[in-house]
Amino acid sequence: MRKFIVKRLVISVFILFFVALIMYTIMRCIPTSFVEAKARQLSQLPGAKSYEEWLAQLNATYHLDTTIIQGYFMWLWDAVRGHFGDSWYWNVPVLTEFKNSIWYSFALGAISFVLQIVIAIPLGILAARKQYGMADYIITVVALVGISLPTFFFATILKYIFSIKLGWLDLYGMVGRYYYQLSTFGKILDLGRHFIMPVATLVIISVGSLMRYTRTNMLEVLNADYIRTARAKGLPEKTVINKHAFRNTLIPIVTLLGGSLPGLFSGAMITETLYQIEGIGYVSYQAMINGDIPFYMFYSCFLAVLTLLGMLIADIMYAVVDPRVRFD
Amino acid sequence: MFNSNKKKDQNYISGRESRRISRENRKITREFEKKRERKHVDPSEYTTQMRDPNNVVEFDNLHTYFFTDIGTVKSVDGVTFDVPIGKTVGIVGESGCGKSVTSLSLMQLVQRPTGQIVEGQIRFNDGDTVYDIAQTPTNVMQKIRGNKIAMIFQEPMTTLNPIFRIGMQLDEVLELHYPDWDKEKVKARTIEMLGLVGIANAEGVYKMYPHELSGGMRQRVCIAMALMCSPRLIIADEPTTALDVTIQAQILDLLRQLKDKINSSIMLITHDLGVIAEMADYVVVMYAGRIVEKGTVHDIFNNPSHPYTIGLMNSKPVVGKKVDELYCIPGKVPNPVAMPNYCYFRDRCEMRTEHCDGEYPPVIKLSDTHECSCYRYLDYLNKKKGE
Repeated sequence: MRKFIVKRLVISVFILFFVALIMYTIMRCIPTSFVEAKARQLSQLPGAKSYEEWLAQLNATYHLDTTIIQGYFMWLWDAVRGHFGDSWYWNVPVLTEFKNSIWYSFALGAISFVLQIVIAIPLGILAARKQYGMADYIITVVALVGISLPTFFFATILKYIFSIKLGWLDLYGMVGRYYYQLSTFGKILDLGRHFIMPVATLVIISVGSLMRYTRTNMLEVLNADYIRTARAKGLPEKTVINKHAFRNTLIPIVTLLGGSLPGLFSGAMITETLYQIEGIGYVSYQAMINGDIPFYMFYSCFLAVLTLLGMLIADIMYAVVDPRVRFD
Repeated sequence: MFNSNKKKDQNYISGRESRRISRENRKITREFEKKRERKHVDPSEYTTQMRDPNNVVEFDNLHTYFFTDIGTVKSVDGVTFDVPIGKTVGIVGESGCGKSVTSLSLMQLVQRPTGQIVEGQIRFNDGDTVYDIAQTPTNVMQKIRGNKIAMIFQEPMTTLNPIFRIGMQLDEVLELHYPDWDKEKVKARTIEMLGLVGIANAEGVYKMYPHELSGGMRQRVCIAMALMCSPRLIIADEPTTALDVTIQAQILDLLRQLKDKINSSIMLITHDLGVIAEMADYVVVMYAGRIVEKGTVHDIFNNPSHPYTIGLMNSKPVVGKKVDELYCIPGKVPNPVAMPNYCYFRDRCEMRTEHCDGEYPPVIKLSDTHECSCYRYLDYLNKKKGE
């Protein structure tokens, strides 16, 4: 087990190296260049230097006069020592901007992730148990509607009903108008109220696939011979489902959930934009379109680390839930 | 051109037709399910009397149907036979003839809601009370399953739950049916049972997972599981089909010994006539959901009467006899959705008579123990009447 983890971690370092290289290359090659935009802007000021002069000066300042490989190793050398530099676009240290926005996204992601599991797995099991029954059809249709509806459409419907017609919730934003006059508890409540619609949007959009996945796996397990054996023992149906079938259904679900660890931190760009939540999805998107290399490099490497970790955790969880899997 | 093609294919069914059938099926099965799911059922509804108290199980005109989207499949269609106490009854027949469904009906393990017992009785003699399994509600049935009637399945590789330890899976049976036993006693009994089925390292196997055992070992574990509560009836559904020949003999020996030790009956389902000859006291031959012939093992092997039984006997390879090609019964089983109203075996039969175009042949008693459904013995019946 330990040998397996160490091996995987060593491999992960190599993968990370190349992932970062690819990301850096792409960032250097994309048509939007932060430096060019800045040079154009500065050259248009009255009495300024020409565009070419500004460009040469800025390229030197931002170390863009290097080749891609040189630039990459410069970035890498700083990054391994923990210096991620300052964000070009946001004008603050990368880590500061990251810290400012990540927790909103994490809260959004984590709450909807937990809700997703709590809703999807029991409903998936219910649908499998009542296959082709009324409950199954209703659950399947709702799941498919959730999967098919685009985020912006669904968010608009929610806003229309709950903000405009009923007036229960604010249309967008993270805090209400009187936020700064509220007590600490009131502030938390206010923040929570503004997260209701984004969370609902995210859950409904993504709950369907997990539900369908649970249903399919449960159906497969319910047709297995060992379920018949469990019934032949005389076990009540509840034990058969919750103990014998559910533990087996968990095996494929665990991999799926392990893979969604980066999803907790990646932020939901569309949802965050629609509800004007200054989460990492929104911030990283702005960094991306403005060619903010330091911020975007940090963010993408962070997600790469999480993805690799998620896969490692999924593999370890596999061994926990399935005794047939052993690392030797 | 396309129309004529469609008509030729008897198995073709239009989408509309299929939907209509499935709607009707749902109506039918919902009634059955509602009846089954009732919470409080008066015991008088599902207790009854045995025809002969020396029997442990009496199947009486059992009909188990599957309501599928292409029509009703009459898997078991009027099956009647007895399992006497302490005896072994073998059920033979080719795949899909309803032998497994018969045994699953007895356990109420037929795939619901499509599969339902629609008619007939299965009387099970518990010693004190007699249950009609066809009417017994699920919560009462759960006390019978695994406790009074146990089942050994065909595929030892898949019958054990892969993620629980052997010990836990066996303990579970005892904990369920003997709730007053403490943990130590349960474990001791499990290890004793594992030893009894010939597992040398019982303590070690107790802690193992199913994937750490071979097929033969797993089947032994399954047998231990079935015998855990000393059931009155053991249903063995092709217990040796998935095992190699040397292990087969061992497993059969083991079953026979243990059966005598706890004095229970065995219902042995197989398509291996060799196994039947070795194990069974009585034989039931099934074809397309019906019993075509039944009798003692001597009746069937010395005097096979139904053409299907004769065909089965002929298709068994014999040691020392030199043949170019193994015999096989020509043709195939009729479509289970649309069964003909004449003898189901008629179109494959090599001994057809002019009577065979009539309706399904009646049961003809050849001797006190030997029965057969075939028009060839009609003369015999008439002669007997005339005497």
